[in-house]
Amino acid sequence: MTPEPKTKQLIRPMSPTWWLEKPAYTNFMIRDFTSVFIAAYCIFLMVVLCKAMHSDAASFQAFYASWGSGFSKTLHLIALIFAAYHSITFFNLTPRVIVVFKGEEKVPESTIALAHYGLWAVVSLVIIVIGLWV
Amino acid sequence: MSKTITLEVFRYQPDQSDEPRFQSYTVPYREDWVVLDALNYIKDQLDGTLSYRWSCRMGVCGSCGMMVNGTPKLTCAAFLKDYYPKPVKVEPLTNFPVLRDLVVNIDDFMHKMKEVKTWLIPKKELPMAGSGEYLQKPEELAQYKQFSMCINCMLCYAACPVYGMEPEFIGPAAIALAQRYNLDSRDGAKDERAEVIFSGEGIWECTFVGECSVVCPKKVDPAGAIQQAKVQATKEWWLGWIMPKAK
Amino acid sequence: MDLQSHDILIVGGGGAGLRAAIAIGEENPRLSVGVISKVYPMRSHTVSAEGGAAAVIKPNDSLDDHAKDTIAGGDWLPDQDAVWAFVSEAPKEMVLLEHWGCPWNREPDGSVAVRPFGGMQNERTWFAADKTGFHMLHALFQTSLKYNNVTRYDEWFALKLLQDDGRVQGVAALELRTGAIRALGGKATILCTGGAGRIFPFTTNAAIKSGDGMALAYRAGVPMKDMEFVQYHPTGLPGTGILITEAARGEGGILVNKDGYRYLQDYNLGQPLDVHDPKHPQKKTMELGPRDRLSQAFMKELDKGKTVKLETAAGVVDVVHLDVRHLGEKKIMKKIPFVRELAKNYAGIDPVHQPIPVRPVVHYMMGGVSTDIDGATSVPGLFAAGECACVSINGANRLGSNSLTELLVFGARSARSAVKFAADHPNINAAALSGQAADEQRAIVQRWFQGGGGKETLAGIRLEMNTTMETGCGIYRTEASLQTTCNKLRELKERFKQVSISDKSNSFNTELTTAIELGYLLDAAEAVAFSALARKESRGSHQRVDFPARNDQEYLRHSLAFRTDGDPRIEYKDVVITKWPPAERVYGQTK
Repeated sequence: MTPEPKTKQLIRPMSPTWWLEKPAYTNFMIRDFTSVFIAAYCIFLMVVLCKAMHSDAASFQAFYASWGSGFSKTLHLIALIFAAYHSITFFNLTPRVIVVFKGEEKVPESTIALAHYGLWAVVSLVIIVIGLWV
Repeated sequence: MSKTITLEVFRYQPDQSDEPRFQSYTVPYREDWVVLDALNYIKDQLDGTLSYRWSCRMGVCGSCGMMVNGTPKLTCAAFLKDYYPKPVKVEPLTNFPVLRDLVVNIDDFMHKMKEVKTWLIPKKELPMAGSGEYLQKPEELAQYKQFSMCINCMLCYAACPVYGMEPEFIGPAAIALAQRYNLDSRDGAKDERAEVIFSGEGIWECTFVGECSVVCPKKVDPAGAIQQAKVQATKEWWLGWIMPKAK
Repeated sequence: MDLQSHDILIVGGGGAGLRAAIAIGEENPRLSVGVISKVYPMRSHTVSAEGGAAAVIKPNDSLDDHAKDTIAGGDWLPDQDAVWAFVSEAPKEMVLLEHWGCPWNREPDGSVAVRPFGGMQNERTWFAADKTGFHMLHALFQTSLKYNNVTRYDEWFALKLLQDDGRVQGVAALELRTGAIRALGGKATILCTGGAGRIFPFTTNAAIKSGDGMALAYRAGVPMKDMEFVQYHPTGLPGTGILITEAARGEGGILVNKDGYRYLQDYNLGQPLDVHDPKHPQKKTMELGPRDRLSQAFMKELDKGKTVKLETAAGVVDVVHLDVRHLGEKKIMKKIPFVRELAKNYAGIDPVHQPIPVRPVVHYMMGGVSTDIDGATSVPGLFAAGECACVSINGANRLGSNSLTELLVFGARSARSAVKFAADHPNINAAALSGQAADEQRAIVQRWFQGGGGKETLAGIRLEMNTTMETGCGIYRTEASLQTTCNKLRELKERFKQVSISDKSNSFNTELTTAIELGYLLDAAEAVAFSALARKESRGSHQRVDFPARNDQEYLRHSLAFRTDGDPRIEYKDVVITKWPPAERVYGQTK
């Protein structure tokens, strides 16, 4: 025992593979990266649509036809799956963000999540109907 | 021969060596024992040099948080029967500097509590009952009660990769405590706390990994508190933008 | 050795210590305060208190009733002037806690809600569900953060009171992190270190409850008052000793033996009402009798063979059942959720569907560092408050929910008197204090780091101390059992000198602190056992089988245990009686 010992402490830096160490972290990384994909897809879609609107009829037809290609179908399928995945994770987390009290009691998380799913179904249905109509 | 279980315990003894190591102990296995009981057995019977913190052994003082098989746990509430017969790995909480063995340095959190002003700053005009207490209806109490249950056990910080990478992040418990006061009908200092919790080191660091709430032994849901604060901050930003004087 | 100095030093960062620190901050923010605590303040044992804190606030209640309940509950041993100060300042203190954010349960109109507790004629227990101590401690700690005149020494372990010129002027403490022993100076010092329940094997007390402040004062020449009075709480979980709050009974829970019979009716505690009767639970009756009487009733049931034999991993334990099922899930979750959490985690049963196995468990020391009504001890400059002190308001048996209030009232009172004392005694002898701390450091190094080879172990001595306290100094005591315990403790103190430790390192050496704590515990245990041996009567929690009656003639007096080189010297001091002459304790009669 010395008169004035110093504090020594051990710093343990995070390993670069920290996100592989726990399924929860891995899932989080998947969520993060797929959202990057969705964002990129949205930008891509907007750019393409803008270009198409400002082009002549012939090139618009060509562009329209390319929509049916295998690549495009795959791209949209992936986008759809990711978007659905994000909708689900988003709606599952919403009750934690939107907390509604009825007197002293919290409105159950399931109710709030279900309300969102309901709304999602309705909006999707409307879009499908409009799509079929047009 | 009665049953036994093995504990792989993280050792760091700065007086002897700069390098940490693992030490293996075999202790009796009892169905009603928690990991803390096993550590106490080691300390009393096998190796007096093992250091760790503990006190109430009923899940309320917040001292005995450690990593048990890689997950932050209160060791007084982690039963051996949930791991038996496999060995149990016990380490100090991640994301904190280690002072000795299973003891971590939590100075950082103690400073952050003060930064976010975890105390009641009353509104100017508050209705009072005859005996002098501020009135608060049960439904007003319910608004913040959950966030007042934090025992400062630091499990949420150990579970938060953002805090691991950015130690400046104010972090789950401190933000939840700030929200506890923000949501208290008696408190009027939301704006004072906003400077810190809406700052770059505050809520916007959080990417909603959500593990803080998963490991919380008191169901405080700090992740929820942070997201709610984000909504509040966004709302206020828009309101300030649309109606500059609305605040 | 450098000396860090403050106007006031507080040893202990629990409820009483933090209340004292805040009181000084409010009184005079220019005064510097040092709070020394061996754990982070929010880890202090106040955190484990569950049921509530008593203070008169409702119109059907009165200060007189609170005083009367407290005095009768304490079997006329409390000092009545102190009780009056306590009950009159209690409401103000509780309102302050409310202003500091404590989340008290509320009535629909927004005023504070109260519940009944054992031994009370009116409802007066303020509560924050059943985590009252937790919420109070965190409110106090978080509030204390705003006072910049308060310096905290977290995880500093107090070793010795430093004295010069006949007064306490500071503390020598071990900084756990570095292992450095440092001297802290203070014009006045307040001990707020809590109880010493760990002298017993089966206790609700946390690991840190090793009587540190009691031993420090005892060694500094202050007598321990009324140490023979140890409260057994009637409802602890078998095995762990975890507390199931009295609020479970306050809300209507009942105690039954193995036949499902509400046995308390056989012990002069009144007649039971049906659990669905709107008048149940009746105040001061049956399950709402005082703790000493309920714990004693358990022992009688045990003798009759009426307790339930519970198989546990540690063997067969005798228990009775605390049944709250009739309250229903909703009320349980609103009023006593922690009871459910604890029973589920630590007894593996859900109180919504099953009765909770319980048995009496050591809970609280009525005795402690002898202080006057202002928290001052007999050594100038030294004050004490909270469980470590004995003012006394608790006498021979503390009423449930008086202790949380006590630490507020007397934490604040002792702070105010310490402030006055510090103003009158502005000088401290830095050189003398540093020298004493250096001596203490040398002594510790010599005793624990250079010594060695002793065959005794910490765990061994502790176990023997625990066992002898339980067998000889438990709920029922006799001359023979107490004599055996006193002899054993004498022997253990001697053998303690042969204990050696294996950890010789500086940083966070918890084996060293455990060893020093065991020394404190042995001092506290000695004061308990010898005081109990000397009191040849039965009063409150001190039940002598060989002297079953209360004897006001000889023992309506406080015991004072003084430390000597041999056995403690026991003296007595008269109880202060103002307006409530001693009478029989009556429970179970409707008002």
